[in-house]
Amino acid sequence: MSDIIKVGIGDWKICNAPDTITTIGLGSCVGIVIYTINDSFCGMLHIMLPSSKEIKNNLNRAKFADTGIIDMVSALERRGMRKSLMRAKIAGGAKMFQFTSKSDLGTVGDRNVYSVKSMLRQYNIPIISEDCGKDYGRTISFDIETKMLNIHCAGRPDKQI
Amino acid sequence: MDDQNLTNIKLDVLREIGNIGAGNATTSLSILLNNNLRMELPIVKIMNFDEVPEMVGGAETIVSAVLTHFKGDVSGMILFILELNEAKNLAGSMLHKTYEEGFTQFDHMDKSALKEVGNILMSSYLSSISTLTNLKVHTEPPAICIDMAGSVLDLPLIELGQIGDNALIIDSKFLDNDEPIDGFLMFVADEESYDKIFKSLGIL
Repeated sequence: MSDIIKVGIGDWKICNAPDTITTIGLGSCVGIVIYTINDSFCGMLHIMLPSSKEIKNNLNRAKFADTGIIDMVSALERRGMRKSLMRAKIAGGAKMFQFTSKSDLGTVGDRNVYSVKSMLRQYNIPIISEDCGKDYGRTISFDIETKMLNIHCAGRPDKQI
Repeated sequence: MDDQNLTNIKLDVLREIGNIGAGNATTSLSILLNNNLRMELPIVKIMNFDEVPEMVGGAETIVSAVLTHFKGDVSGMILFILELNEAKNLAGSMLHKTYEEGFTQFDHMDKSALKEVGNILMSSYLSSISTLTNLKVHTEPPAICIDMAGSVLDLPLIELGQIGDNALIIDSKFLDNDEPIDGFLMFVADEESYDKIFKSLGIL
């Protein structure tokens, strides 16, 4: 029997095959999966904000792209995943509300994606595929056996990246 | 007075503000829709942000959300949230049209109608806060998003995530010729703004 592991907002989890791992309703948040070709486990992270350094209330490290990625990568390494073999797939970072006035928060999706990419670059983890930006929400789930990330959106066909 | 009592008094105050605000809004909406609109007494509650999508049936339920930022003496954001079918009923009753089953893309006119209803409700609520407290509040133009509840609510969650983890929900049921339109307002403000509101009403 395989289970579906759910990752909440501002959280990360590790998942072992044959279970699948999912996170629901990514808007301007970003979902990050880190896996390797050979390992039968992976990690999924659901971040809300680009940087823990800009915010006072930063006790939950998984909320932020910088600290969330650091923590998940080291947890995966402790489980035996080799950093040099790690790969990533990312999705989310949409702009859900189109405000007429210029608002800093309207672009938080873009800033999240930018921050996630620069953190992964620092770790030399290549991004194999991504589905980011635009103006719609996404539910993602990762299949460890096929290494495919399924993207589900309201009113659109699912796609695999 | 213990914390619980204070919290109850504060909730009563917010409920009363909600009542007055929604009362004003109902009148405006009745005129706009040219029908007999009534309102039930709103339920006011404080919820953890993770629980909000559950109010509409879960993070993947399609909702219509109108969002407005407000600034001035108090600042934050306010949202008017409707489940998809309720949004169809409301837009349909304004534009005299019917919608098909399932998830359909709303056109510009439908969205604009829903945005205007949200705008009236939210402005009425804010202006009753402003009148009662003598605090200055001005709103920015609203924006609308129709999508999965989880993804729609993550922008307010992000804004709130910087200051706390709770939201104030003013759950108000409107009756359009005795047909209920089930929607709610969600008021998100920082602690400082709440303190200002209660202080100006002599509660703190």
